[in-house]
Amino acid sequence: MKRRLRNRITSEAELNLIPVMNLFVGLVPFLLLSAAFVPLGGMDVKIPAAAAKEIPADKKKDLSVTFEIKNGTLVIAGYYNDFTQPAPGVSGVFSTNDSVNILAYLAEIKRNHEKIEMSLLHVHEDTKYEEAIKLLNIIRSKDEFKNVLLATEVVE
Amino acid sequence: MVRRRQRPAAATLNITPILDIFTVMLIFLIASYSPEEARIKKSAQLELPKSTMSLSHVPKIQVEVTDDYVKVNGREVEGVDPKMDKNLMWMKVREKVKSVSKKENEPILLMADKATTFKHVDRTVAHLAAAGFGEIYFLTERHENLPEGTLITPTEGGAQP
Repeated sequence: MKRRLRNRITSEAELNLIPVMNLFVGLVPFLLLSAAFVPLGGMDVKIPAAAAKEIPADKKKDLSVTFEIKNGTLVIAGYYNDFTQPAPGVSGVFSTNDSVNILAYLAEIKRNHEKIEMSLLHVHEDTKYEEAIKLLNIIRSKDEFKNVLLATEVVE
Repeated sequence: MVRRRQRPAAATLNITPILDIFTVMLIFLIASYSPEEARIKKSAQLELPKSTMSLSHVPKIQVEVTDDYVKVNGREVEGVDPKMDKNLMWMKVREKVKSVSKKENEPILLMADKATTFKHVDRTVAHLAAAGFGEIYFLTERHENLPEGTLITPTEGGAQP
């Protein structure tokens, strides 16, 4: 007996796009809302323990460096003995736009001193935040000054 | 001759282009998604200063300072004017930060507009330090390709070699 070959009418399977669309309609708005199109960075700063206290004293002959930002200038000064004895030859005044010379001077301080014990940054009150961050970025680009402390006003 | 009225063909929606767009957008957004950065809640009008430093982690306590207000975790602390130096007023900020912190000396993310006078930032940081929070992270806009020594001039914008 011949088997009649039946012509099978096979219907093509249709792709159901509803779950895919559900996924897109749900995920895309969520990711768009949470996306940060501007890469964010940050700088951690340490503050001397409890702003009301004095900076704790440390070793005697290691160099401590202060940075002061005031009126568009950066004043760099070095001290020994807990900031009581100025370090000869460690003193400079730079324009805040003069990053090349600032970095060169910091490199020179590093070459001439074995260890830099502490560095302190003081920003004059009228300085703009952006300028302070810019200089902090420059100072911290040198490993020796990575842990620069931010000297803030004393409060009760 | 009888003309048969033909039914107009049903319009079909071609969703292929929509799927193309969604697929590309989804791949891009998944690749750029960062759960850490998504946690940062800063005001839209805040313009951050630029730096080359990257943020190692995002602290849970977020303090936003401008010349006019102080916000803690997105909520403005009522009655606080950064221009004033009244201790009683700043106690509110200290109390607010202590109330949202879960442990001592928890790190704080500080966000300030680039045009903010540093005095107000300094004052905020001083009060946070006095309250026992000595680890502060300044939030900035990261510029990875900024070569050493290149500055961003605040007024002119753009990098100068």
